[in-house]
Amino acid sequence: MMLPSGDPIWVRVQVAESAATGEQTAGPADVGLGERIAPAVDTLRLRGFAETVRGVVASVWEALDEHRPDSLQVEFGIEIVARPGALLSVLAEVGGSAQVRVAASWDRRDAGPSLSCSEESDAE
Amino acid sequence: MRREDTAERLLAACSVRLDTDAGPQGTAFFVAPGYAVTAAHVIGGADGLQIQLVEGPHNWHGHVADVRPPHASETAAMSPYPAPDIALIKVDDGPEHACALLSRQLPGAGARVMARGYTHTFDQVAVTAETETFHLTGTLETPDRDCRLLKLGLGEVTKGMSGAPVLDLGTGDVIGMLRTSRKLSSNLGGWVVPADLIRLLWPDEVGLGNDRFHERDSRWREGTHQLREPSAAKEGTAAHGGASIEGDVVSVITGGNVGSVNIEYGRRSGHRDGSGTL
Repeated sequence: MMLPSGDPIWVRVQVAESAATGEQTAGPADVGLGERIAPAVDTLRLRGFAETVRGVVASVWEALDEHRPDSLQVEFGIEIVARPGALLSVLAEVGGSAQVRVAASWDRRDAGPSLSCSEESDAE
Repeated sequence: MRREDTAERLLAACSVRLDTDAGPQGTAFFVAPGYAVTAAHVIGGADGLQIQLVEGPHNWHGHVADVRPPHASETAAMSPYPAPDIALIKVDDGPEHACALLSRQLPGAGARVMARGYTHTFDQVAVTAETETFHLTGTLETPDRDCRLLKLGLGEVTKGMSGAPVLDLGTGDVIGMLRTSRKLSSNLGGWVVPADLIRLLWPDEVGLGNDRFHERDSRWREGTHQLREPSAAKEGTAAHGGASIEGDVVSVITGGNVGSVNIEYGRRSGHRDGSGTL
């Protein structure tokens, strides 16, 4: 697949449908040995990757608008989902909710001794 | 010799394990000198992908030369893979090899067939050859109006059998390539891409190549001659005759060992398109 930067990378996609992976499937299933390999994929572009990243960062930044931190760390997972004809990137889900971890810190130079703190939060 | 034994040896002579850089992916079989086929989903629809074919001590290097359907980027993640789900492999380097005798016509209803593929049935780790018999139970139309799949039943299609040759136990011809299980962990069988379609998809490389190979080397036909005779329906005991002839011919084809390609194989060079011996 192609990253938005144009750099090609290989991805191994686990087909989500149980029909392709599970022993308990009720319908037809292709019977290759490996997990489905994405095609050589100069034509498969990772849709929504940049938008996903930009959206998360912008949302966090907006939430801290009134308390702009001096440093900000945002951790989140990107899940690559195979759909017919496309690979999509979405915020990775853990237990049904997407997790974003935020760590912000402030250097309180204007308040006497230096002070720093951090916050972490999960957001759905 | 029982017809199942004959079939196993013939299938062993033409089928191989297909590996990529990621390891074993499924099965393929030789259809013409320098050419093999596998299911498109086995190689992820990746046209040009470098692959390796392995059978016992022998291995062949090659690449995916064509994929059907051709627009893999739109189909690679679908399951079941769109019809016909087949890829042509060009062998770039490796020893000479046998070729399956591709049928020109659909088998009769209820025909008994055998497939040979590379599975990890034994312990879910080691990839080993496995055979299974089925009955032809019908056909299945697909959205591709040029592709009508054959349906097998009364046998289990396990993971790894994609790309396996399916041999008609009544004629010795290979009727097609296994691609899909109708239901895993059941005896509902699977779907087969018919041999006549494989011929049509690549008329020069496969159709003509297969014909020329078997015109030049008659041993596959000779080895299956007994299967074609009515009396062969009563196979399995020496009392029905013909077993020794059949066994001798098949031994010549396969080197006498199931799983061994041929005693004359092994001369590694750039692949020669033509005068291979079985």
